[in-house]
Amino acid sequence: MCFNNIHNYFPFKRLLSLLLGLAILIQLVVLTYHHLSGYYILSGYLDFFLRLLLGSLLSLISGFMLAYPDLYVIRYLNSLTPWGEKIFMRISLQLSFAVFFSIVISTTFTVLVNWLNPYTEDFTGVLIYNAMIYAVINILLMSILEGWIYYSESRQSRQIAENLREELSQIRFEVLKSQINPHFMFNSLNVLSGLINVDAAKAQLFIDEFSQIYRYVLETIEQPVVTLNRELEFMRSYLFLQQIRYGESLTYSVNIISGHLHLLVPPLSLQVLLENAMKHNIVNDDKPLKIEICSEGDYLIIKNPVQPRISVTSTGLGLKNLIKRYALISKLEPEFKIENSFYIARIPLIKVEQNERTDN
Amino acid sequence: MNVLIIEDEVFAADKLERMLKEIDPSINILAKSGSVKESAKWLSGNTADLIFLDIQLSDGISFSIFDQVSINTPVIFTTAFDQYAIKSFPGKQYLLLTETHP
Repeated sequence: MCFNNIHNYFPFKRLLSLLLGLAILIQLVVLTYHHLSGYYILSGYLDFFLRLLLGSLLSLISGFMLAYPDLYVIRYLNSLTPWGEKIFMRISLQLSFAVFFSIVISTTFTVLVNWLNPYTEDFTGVLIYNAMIYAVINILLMSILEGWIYYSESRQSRQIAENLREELSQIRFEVLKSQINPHFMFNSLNVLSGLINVDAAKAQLFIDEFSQIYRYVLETIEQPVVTLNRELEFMRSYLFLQQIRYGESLTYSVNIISGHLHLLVPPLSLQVLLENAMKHNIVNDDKPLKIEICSEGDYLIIKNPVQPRISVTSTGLGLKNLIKRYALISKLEPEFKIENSFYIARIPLIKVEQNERTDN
Repeated sequence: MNVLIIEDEVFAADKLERMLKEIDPSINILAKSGSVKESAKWLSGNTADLIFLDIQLSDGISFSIFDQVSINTPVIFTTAFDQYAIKSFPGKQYLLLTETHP
C-alpha cells in the first residue's frame, strides 16, 4: 500500500485537521453526556482536561484507522463507477464498508481498553454500544470525506475546462490571424490586379476561388475537424491561386486513397503545410517546386524537395498551432522529417468514432 | 531614366512597371528580376539609375544581393515590411514613404 498516493487524493494536513476537530468534538459531547447523565461525573477541570486529552487522542487514532480504509474504498469505487452511475448500489456498498470497518475497529479498541482497564458493566453491552457509536461516526466521516473529495475534483475539472476553453479560443484566433495575414491577402490581390487587365476570364476565376478560400475559413473555424474530402477541395482552390502567382514554377500531384476521403483532419491543416513548403523553399523558374500530396497508412503526407530560402515572414507559429490543435482531438501527433533531401510532413487522419462532432 | 525592378511577384512587378510608365513614359525598365541570384548576375554586368527593391525574393532576402555586388545607385524599397527598410545600410540616407489617399 503506498501511503503517498492516497495523500495525493486527500492531503494529510487536511485529514489531520478534520479528524482532530471531529475527535475533540466527539469527546466533548461524550464527556458532557456522561457527566450530565451520571455515568461518569467529572471531578474537576483537571479531570475534564485530562479525559478530554486522552479521549481525543484515542479518538484521533481510531479516526485515522477508520479514515484510511474509507479513503481507499472511496478511491477504488470512484475509479470503478464514477458518480452518476449505479448510485444506489454504490451508496449501499459504501455504507456496508463503513459499518464493517467501524465494527472491526471498535471491537479492537474495546477489547484493548478492557484488557488495560476492565469495564465494570456488561462487556457485550459495551461492545455493541461502542460499535454503534463507531458505525455512526464512520458513516459521518465517510460522507464528509466523500463530499470533500467530490467537491475538490469538481472544482479542478471546472478549472481545467476553463483553461481548455481559453486555449481553444487562442488557437482559433491564431488560425484566423494567419489566414488574414497581409502577406497572403495582398499577394493575392496583387495577382488579381495584374490579371484583370490581362485576362479578365482568369481574373473572374481567381476571384471565385479566392472567395471560396475565405468562405471555407469562416465556415470551418468553429469546427475541430473536417473531412479530408472537404479539406482537399479547399486545397485545390488554394493551390489554384498559388499556381497563378508562381506560374509553372509550382506543380503538385494528389494521390489519395478513396477510402481515406471520409477521415478527418483539423481544418486548414493542409494550408499550413503547403504555405510552409512555399515559404521555406525556392519557387522560381530556376528551381521549380513540386509538392506531392498522398495518403499512406492512416496519415496524410505532404512531401517536397528541400531547396531552402531565407524567409522574413517565418515564425514557426503555424506548425505549433497545428500540433496544438491535434493535441486537442487525438493522441496521435503530426510528424515532420527530412529524408533524402525531401521534407516530409505526416499528419494523422482521424477516424470518425474518435470524434463526436463532424461536418457534412 | 533607366530602372531595375527587383520583385519576385510577377504581377506586382508588372503593376509597378505600368505605374511607372503612367508617371513618365520615357522611363525605361531595363530588367525585372525575381531572385537574389538573377539580380546579382544582372548587377555585376549592368547598371541602372534607380532600383526598385522588394525585400522577400524567391530565393532569399534581397539584402544578400549587396553581399555579392556593391552598388551606388539609389534604391527604393517596395515592401510592406517597413521595419526591414529602416534596418538598412548604416551611413546611407533613407526616407520612409507611405502611400496616402486624399
